[in-house]
Amino acid sequence: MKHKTFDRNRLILILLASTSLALLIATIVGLIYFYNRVNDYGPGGNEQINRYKHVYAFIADDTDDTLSNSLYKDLVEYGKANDCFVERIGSGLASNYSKSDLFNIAIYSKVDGIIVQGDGTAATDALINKADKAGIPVVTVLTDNKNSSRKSFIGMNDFSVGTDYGTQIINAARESGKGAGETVSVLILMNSQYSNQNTILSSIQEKVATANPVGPQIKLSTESITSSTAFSIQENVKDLLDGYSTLPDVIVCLSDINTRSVYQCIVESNRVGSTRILGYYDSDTVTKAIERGSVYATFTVATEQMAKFCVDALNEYKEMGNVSAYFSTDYELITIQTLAARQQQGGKGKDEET
Amino acid sequence: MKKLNSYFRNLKLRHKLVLVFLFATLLSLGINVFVYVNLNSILNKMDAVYSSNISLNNISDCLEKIQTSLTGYLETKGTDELEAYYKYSQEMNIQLSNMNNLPTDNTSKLTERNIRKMTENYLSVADAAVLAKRGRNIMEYTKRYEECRQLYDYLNVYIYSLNNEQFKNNSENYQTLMSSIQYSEVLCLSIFAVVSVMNVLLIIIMTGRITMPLTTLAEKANEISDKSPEKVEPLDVRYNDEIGTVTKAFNQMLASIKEYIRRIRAQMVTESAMKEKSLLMENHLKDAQLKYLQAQINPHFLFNTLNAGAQLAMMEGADRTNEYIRNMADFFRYNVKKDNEVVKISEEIGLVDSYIYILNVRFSGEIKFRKVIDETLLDVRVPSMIIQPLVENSVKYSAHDSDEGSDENEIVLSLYKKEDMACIEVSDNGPGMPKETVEKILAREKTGSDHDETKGIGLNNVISRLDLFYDGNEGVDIISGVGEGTRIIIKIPME
Repeated sequence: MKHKTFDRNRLILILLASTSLALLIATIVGLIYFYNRVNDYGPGGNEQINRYKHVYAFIADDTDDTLSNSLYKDLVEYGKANDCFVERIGSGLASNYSKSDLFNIAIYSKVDGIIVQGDGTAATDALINKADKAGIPVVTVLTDNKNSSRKSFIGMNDFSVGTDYGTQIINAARESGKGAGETVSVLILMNSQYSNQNTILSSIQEKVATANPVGPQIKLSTESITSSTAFSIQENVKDLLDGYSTLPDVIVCLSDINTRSVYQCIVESNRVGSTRILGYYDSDTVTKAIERGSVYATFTVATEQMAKFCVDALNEYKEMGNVSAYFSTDYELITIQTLAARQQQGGKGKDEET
Repeated sequence: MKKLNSYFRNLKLRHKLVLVFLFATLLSLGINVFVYVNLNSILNKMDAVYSSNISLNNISDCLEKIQTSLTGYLETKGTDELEAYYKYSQEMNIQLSNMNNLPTDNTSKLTERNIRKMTENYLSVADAAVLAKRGRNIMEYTKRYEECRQLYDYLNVYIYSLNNEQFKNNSENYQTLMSSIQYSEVLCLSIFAVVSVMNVLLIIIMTGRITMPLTTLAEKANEISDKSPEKVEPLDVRYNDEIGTVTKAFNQMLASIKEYIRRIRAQMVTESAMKEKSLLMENHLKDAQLKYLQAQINPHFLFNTLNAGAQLAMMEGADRTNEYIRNMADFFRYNVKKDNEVVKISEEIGLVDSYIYILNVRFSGEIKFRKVIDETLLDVRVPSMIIQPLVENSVKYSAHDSDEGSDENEIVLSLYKKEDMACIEVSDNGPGMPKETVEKILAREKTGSDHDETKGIGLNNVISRLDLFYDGNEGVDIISGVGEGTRIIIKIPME
């Protein structure tokens, strides 16, 4: 009887001891979890902080522009790999600043270099000169400010781009079904702030003039979009196209925002197929439009290469004190055929030169 | 572990209890300290959560004061404003030293760097404006002031934006810390629960270990009172504390009780055996005496009568008659006097001599009696009345039953020493006894031939008395056969 009682007591003790041990283990695990949690969320936050040798400012014309966003992404990525961080100056602030303010902020913030989307204007030239005077090297990207003291320009060859646009206009005219003696109207939408578009236009005109005289006659006309903000550009484009009772046979857009605005207006007014759009840059919207046949062709920019050249140019200047004044970047024509081929190759042909 | 266990066992009871409760108390204290430190750490972290916002607000305030004092100074050239300007500029420089100064991919830290650089710029431009004001260069300080205004605007936007961003992050951190505190409360409660259970467990185990030997001791004591102490096993002494001492004393007491009981039991057995022996001796002696009395019929009367006869014979000058009557009187006197006594062998031999003289007078010297005596043994002490009955037996069965007048009938009484024993031998050349009778006599059984035992003291009686007297250490041997005579040998220890 006593033996049984002893066994029962022992069993209870073992059970209690096991429970206590289990609770103890749970407590220790909980404690470790708790400490990790608290330490992760200290006052400094849980973000990992990497430090770099240089910080460069990137100033784009339009913060919503797909091209500039894509370029900035590549700039950051490549910059981090080369011990520098590219800051999109003015982003995340409670106020929107003009290019002039952004330049001032960059200068006052003593950045190590500025990558600016050039526009060829005198105002920007002055800003570039001011920065240069403050000891901050500036490189222009996409569009140049030749008259400034920028250290280098990184962008496509405008003349070459214009020639390729001309070729595509001729192709589109041929495919329009119009015969000799008939006129194919081509509308070229330009942006007043980008002076380099004049070079492209000249090149287009030159190419079209050398077109086969047997085919339909190509009549080029230009319209300039004066607004600089995204919202007003879209409105201006709509107003412009609404003014046409019959849409031009070919509409050429020389900027990403123009391309997207034109495409959207055509879709909204249910006039898809009544014109051929030659676009600029392969944003997702444009790529999808090409797949559907709503956009005839577009030119894409090799942003990764462009980003590399920008960062390298600034790093080289910081190290050597001088750098090449011009870096030519690649571009690619995208049509429904090349898109299919690219999809098959997994996008390998994106950087190939046309 | 074993050492610890051994150490614990050897501790005093008081120290054990103190140790157990001290350990439990220290454990509780440790947990309390742990919980306190834990909560304190969280509270410190909570305090620090919004420190970045506070710091930014300070910078913003300081900047505003600098701007105000700068504006005031540039307007009126007031010394108070200038003093305030320098004071806040200094304060600002201190605050700036705590801000990030390096390029980083962390948005907040990068904005912090920009604020620091812009503020540094702002302060240097403001200094230039103050300097220009002192030089009364209106154009210069107006230009510098405008630059300051622009920087001030930028800085306000930057500080505001960073403040907002950090407030958002800090609020998230605050929420996390709040939930951590709740978690910590649960955790601390769990730890308390665990430790309390462990404490209770510990106290149960330890006090159990301390009181268990006491309980066992009490149970053993009950066992002793309930059943025979001889069946109770001693306790194991596991501890060297007070309980260990009590247990040892208990075991000693138990052993003493057992020994005492054993001794009493042995004593009782011995006493009982002795009592039984004594009773048997008495019984046999009484039996012998009865038989003797029956045989002799009032020996006192006979003895007195015979003495009177002896005196008469002496007066009459009848010497032989006198001798005869005197021997008879000695014979009867010995019987009267020596009953239940230890006597010397010489006295026993004297009795035999008297007996033979009487018989030879009676039977006209027919009985041939010879003695071979080792005189060194004459003082050996023996129970009375052991030789005469043997001689009487021989007389009865040899001399008496043999042919009348035969010269060959002889009774020999020998006393000699053999193997440290005094040997009394009575031999005759009579008809002897059958082997069966001899075996029965030696086996102390009653023999059929003792039918006339009332006339003499029987051999059986002698042997029984010798057995009782010597506890069986004596030896009785009967060598006899039909027609071979009889030798009765009694071996007596000489001490």
